[in-house]
Amino acid sequence: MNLLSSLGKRAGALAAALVMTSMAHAQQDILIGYHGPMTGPASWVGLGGRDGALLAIDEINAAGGVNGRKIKMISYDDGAKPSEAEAVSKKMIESDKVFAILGGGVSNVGIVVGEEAHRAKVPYMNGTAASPKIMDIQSRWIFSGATIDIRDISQNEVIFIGEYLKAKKVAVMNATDEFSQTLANDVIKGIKEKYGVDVTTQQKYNPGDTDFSSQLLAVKQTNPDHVLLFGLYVEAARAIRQARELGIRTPFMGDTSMMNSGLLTVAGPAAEGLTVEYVPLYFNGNKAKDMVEFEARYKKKFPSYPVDRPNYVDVYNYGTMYALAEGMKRAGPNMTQKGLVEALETLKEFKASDSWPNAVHIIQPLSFNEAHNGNRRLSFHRVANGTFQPIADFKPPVPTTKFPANATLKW
Amino acid sequence: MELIPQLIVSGIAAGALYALVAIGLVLIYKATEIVNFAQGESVTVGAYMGWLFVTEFHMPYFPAIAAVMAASALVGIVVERVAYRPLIHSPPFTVILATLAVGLIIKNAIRLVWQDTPRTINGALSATPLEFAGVLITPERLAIIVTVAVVVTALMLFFRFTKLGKAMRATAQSQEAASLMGISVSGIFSKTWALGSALGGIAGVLIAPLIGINTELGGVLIPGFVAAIVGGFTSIPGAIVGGIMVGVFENFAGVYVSSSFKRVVSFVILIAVLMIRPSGLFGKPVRKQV
Repeated sequence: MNLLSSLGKRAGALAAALVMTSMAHAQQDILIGYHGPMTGPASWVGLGGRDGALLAIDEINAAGGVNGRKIKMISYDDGAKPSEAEAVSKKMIESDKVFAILGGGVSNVGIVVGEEAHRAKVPYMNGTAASPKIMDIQSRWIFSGATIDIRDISQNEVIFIGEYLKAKKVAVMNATDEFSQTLANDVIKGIKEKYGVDVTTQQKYNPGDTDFSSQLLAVKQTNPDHVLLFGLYVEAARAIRQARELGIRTPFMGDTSMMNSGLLTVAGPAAEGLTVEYVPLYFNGNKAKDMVEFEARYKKKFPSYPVDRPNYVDVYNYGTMYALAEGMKRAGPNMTQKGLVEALETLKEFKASDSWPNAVHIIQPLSFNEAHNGNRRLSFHRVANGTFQPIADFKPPVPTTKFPANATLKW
Repeated sequence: MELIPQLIVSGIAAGALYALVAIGLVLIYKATEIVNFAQGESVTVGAYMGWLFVTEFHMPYFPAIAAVMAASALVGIVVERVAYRPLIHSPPFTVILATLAVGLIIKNAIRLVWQDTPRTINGALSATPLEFAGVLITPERLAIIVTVAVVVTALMLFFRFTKLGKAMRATAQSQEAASLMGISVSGIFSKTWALGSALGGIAGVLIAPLIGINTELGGVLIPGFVAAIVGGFTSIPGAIVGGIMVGVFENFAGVYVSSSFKRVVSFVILIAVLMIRPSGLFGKPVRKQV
């Protein structure tokens, strides 16, 4: 009896300890790793991605967190360099042991982090990078949130150039980073094949460049009817302004990264007539209820930020963070990393405001299709009277192309 | 529009900015034998100060330029006293590291206060191009070229005819001899840093309306540095010639070789000049007695 009693007491204590440990584990914060460039010419990408996510996390935690657990995010500067991205990934995965990674980086870094995440079997939600090489890793661990794949951007741009602008001769100027180079080459291929557009010249420049006179003079010599510009908005603004100084009156078309009020600040009146694409639902200052509410909350959390914040990257990762949290919620209280992946795959036309009481809906609805690309939609805008105005008479079709055609995602 | 003359004029306009940076580098090196790797950040500081004076304090543009010069000079004096004066007897490599560190500190301090959001200044001059014999140039860019010409003339007169200028020349030739003649070498150092920083500040406030303001403006150090070496690191006229060469050659390389080659060309010029004339185009060979 004494032995039985003693064993019973020990079993009870052990059971209690196991329950307490389980409860403690369940109550532990969910640690998310974040990477993005927070220094250098692309720092506005990394900082925007971080701050949008932080706002979402505040709201999610204020509403009780995910299945009773709070989300905690640890951020790293990847400097927009693949070499630093590798070190940052290993730190997050091996040292910090993050549960998942949220990406706020540029394309060449997203590829490196994606590969590391796949190798380590850690869910990776890319919120900002657009290179197809990230999704071409064909990993079930990798998702692309509010951003849009370059292949979808280029498909929309090709149709816009051929059918709306009706361009016959274009010159191309692109930055040498992964995103810009890939998008430029895709669009050139598309407009030549589909519409027989003559590409008169392709000029390149580096992120951080301040003088574009040789590229612009080479463009001017070929007398195009449009100039296609691919790169980040600061250099684009400088190039557009300098183009007008060199007597180039040709209309410019920019890409998704250029719809930014910082471009209007630097380029000034030279930007009039610029056409660009935009991926989120609303641009800064839009009077839609959700955007007004978002900007108010953002300004409250970051009161000292300049007038052009939040930018579209803030918006991307605000919405993408909610998608990640939704996946965690659906994975249940005993969430595993594999369970998170399977739960994310159930998101179809997901709007954060549908299932989170504090959320506002400001990104395109997300559906994680077979290739895990959450968003395939964008819209077109033109600079008129110093602001971006939507081009109402052109609605691009939502791409349905699967890429790769026979994608088989691997664990 | 004639392409070749336009390439030359646009190249001169770009090269004038590089020349301003190079002159600042040369001035500081001549007097103190320090290569100031933070000279690019003095351009950034000048641009942000210009923004503060024009946009926040509503100062007219031209008085703001004078204010930027004065403020930049003050920053130069403070940095010299705090960061470099204590290292006056340290090995050259230590001081070089210090200038790199100062540059990083300045850049990140600005980023901390104002983030990386681009800003601009409304310049007082027009951005509408003027045409001369088929060549286009805006009054803004012409102003940079004119400023370099005025700065060089003023410096020549300053070094030739003023007591302080002669004292700086004496210190540059021999710090020991200058000290023996009653010149305060440390005082000359302060004034040289002030002058070098003021030149960087002018470059920043002139370029700000053209390319906007962000914390990456200091990247202009690289072509400025190349210009200084090409010209001979102790020659102010050499710095100007070097700057213009870099600007013009970059443009020609960008059009006739490849736009990808444009940034590389300044280093190609550097290697080519140093192979033919190791002391630079206008520098004097240094002889050491062993």
